[in-house]
Amino acid sequence: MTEKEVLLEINHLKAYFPVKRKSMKEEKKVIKAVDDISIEIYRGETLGIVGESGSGKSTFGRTILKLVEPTAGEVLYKGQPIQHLKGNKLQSYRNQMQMIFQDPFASLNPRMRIGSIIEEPMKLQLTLTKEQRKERVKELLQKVGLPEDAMHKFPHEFSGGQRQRIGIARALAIHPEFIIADEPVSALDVSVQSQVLNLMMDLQDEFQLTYLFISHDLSVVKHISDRVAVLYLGRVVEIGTKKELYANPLHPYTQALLSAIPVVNFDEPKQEILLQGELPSPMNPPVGCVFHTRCPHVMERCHQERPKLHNENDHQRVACFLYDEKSENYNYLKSEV
Amino acid sequence: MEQPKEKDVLLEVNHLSIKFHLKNGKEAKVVEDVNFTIHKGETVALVGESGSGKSITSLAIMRLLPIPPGEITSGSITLNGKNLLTYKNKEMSRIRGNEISMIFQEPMTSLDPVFTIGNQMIEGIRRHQRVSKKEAWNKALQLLKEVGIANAEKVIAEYPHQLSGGMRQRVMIAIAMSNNPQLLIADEPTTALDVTVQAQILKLMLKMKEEHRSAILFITHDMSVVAETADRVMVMYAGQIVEEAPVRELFLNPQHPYTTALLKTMPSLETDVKRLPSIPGTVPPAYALPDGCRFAPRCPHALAHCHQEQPAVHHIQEAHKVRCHLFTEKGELAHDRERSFAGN
Repeated sequence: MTEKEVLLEINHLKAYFPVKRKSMKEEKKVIKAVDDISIEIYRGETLGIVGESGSGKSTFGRTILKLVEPTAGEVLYKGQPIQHLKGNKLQSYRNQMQMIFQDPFASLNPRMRIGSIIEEPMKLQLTLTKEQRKERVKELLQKVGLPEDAMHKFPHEFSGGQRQRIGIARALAIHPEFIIADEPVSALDVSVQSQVLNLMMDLQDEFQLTYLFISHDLSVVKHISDRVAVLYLGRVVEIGTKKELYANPLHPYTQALLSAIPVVNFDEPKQEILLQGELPSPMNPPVGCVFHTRCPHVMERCHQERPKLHNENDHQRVACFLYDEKSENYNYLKSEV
Repeated sequence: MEQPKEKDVLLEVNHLSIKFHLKNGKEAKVVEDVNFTIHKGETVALVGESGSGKSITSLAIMRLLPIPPGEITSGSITLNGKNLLTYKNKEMSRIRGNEISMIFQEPMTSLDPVFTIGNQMIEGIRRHQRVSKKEAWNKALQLLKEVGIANAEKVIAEYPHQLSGGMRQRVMIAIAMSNNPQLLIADEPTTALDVTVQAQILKLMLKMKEEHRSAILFITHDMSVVAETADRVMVMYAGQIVEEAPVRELFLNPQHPYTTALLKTMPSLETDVKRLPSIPGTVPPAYALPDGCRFAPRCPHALAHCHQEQPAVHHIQEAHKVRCHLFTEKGELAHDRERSFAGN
């Protein structure tokens, strides 16, 4: 990978949530929503985070923004650790990041006019006069492709796609550098979905934004991302450039995920890897490799040890014993790939 | 995905129009002049965006439409030659769950939280079959095994909240199949599920269909799911079916501008484009439909008279129908548009 500026460095990040016990006798349990994730995010890129529900992808996003207090690990923003930030300093850290939410119906206050919704973050974080703020609202509406008179209307007067545009305008209001988009197009129809994706890409070019794009939809992530990380039960099982990861998935889970996507292809029947069962409960994750309960290539070793993420090639890192040089399958797999 | 052997007509929907009376006095024409046929053993997909009227159509077939505010203004729905719209509620309840059954999108809300899985299954079986509780229980157990629930003996005594989303959808399929329905209506059955689970459930639905020799009306917004499951596809837009064709024909040779655009906007794993093509604008709300063709305001090929006149349905081939002004009566591309269409 070429030399790029690291915007965010995430080291061994963990977010555990205690589970309420029914009695004092019961063992203390925790849900390991994010379990030891280390990722670097480069300036100007889009990092896609893919995972099924329960994989911890949303919690991961929230932990970076310190909306969820991490249990362990650190987040460095431009080299500065953020875990001890408080008050004004935390505020100014958050000023540089914004979030776009999944549900465009729930994330806009139904009693506020669009103008006030977009203006609100500016009131808190920028020193602008009322007129300047109004000008900025107009400018933002135009940027996201909405008419100027939208500012006098209420959220219910807009369709899902338009609301998502409003959400994006609000996120851009205070000139953030980094945007976490948590399933921003999942609630939208396909024909509108592509409009919003295109808008997000245009805005990225215009304002040099860095995106963390969280989604369960591998085709959408492929479209917008530069690099992709695959999460399973709170851990990164594979991370790589989009090109490599989609063309040559290494982890058995990534392979299965990709093959599970329905495709429009009538001529060659696709090779399908049908996974058994569902995601195990994060309260009680499997010992050893978290994926071993559903893995078609499971080995003895996977039941005991947890594989670490290691560099498989210049573009991909994978956490799987199949690619461990000690593994019997290693040579066989190498020749196959 | 082979053609069904029997070509017997199972369900016929003729000129179905449904209107909703809104609180503000307006009327919403949610379904207008919908015609289609489902043959025995066939899987037919009804595809459309939200608000296209696809779910309303399925509810009308089940006679589960809230009336009022809904109103079926015209048309007929015939199952095996009998018009369901003339049935009394009591007669209809013999059809529902027996000859036609339905799977809903939300496996969380479509099971009753206060009864065990076994209880809910037995209720459905005993309503339509004269069997003892013991026999019904055994049948339920067997069905649960059929839908791939490994520890069926345990699950049958459990409550819905103890099961995961995928398991609940399996239970729903088991319940829907318990009386060997001739028609299974699946309304977005996998939308709430993860991809790996979605693949399992789709496989299962097709397997159950084969074993019970049912037909499926598959309602979805997801074109790619359709490609893998359906024999025939109907595309719905703003309350009307705009195109209908066998699945291969529809994907390889789409004719209606809306279908063409919809297929292009799908982000796909195969192609790599910088910008996704998109359809400008949004689906018009059902209370403010445009005059003329419903798609005209968003259509790249719209002609002057598209904005005034509703297009008729043209047959392009025997099984390929399109509702569009670009085609003449004979189903050929209208001459003046041919060049711009081909150049697209």
